[in-house]
Amino acid sequence: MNWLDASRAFEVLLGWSLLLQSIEQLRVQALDRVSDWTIQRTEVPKRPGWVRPLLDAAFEPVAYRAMLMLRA
Amino acid sequence: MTLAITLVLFGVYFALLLWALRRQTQLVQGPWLFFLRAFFPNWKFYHAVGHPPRLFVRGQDVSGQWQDWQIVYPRRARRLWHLVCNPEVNLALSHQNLVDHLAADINDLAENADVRECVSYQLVARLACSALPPQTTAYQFELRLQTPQDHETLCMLQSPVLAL
Repeated sequence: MNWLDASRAFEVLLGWSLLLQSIEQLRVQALDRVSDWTIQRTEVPKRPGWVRPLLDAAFEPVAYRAMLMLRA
Repeated sequence: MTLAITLVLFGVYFALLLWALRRQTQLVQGPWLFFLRAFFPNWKFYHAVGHPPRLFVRGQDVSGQWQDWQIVYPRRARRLWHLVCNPEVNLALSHQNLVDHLAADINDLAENADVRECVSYQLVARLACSALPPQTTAYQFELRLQTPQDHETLCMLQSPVLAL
């Protein structure tokens, strides 16, 4: 096996891993009754200032689900 | 082109790991490193054997009667399919990780700080609440350090009575 084959095998493995993670996360979103972004966001550092609004938008349920489906 | 990018990213990741291993005498800390900790392996597998924290909860029903304390430590039946996809157990593990996180936060708590302001405390309160039957009107939870051998427990934290 040369470097290119090894690299391709790594990409395939990474792709499979991302697919499984995305499917699991979609299921976890439906099952989880504990996580609450309005609580968790207070732990995000205030600086840089653009991070919190960005994460607020990313963790909005519909947007997050769409992101996971796009990732899968 | 994508292969070259993969190789570069692969190389950068392992170069970073090698750099971190060589700088083992210094402790690198920070909020962003804490949030991104899943990307970096922790080699302190069995650093010390301690008492694992466990969450206990009890609820009060409509007649005012308190139930017995019960441990919140879910077990799931094993299936072959779980080797490939196992969201229920991964979620349960993340919940137990919250309990561990709260125990660490209590240990690191500053003098005169209020644990109820910790995010881990608020999330563990939600976890305790989710383990109760639907007729519950109020609840209380405890964080106990437990030894599997002698079943002795040491109460680390007892919440006030919380309304639902």
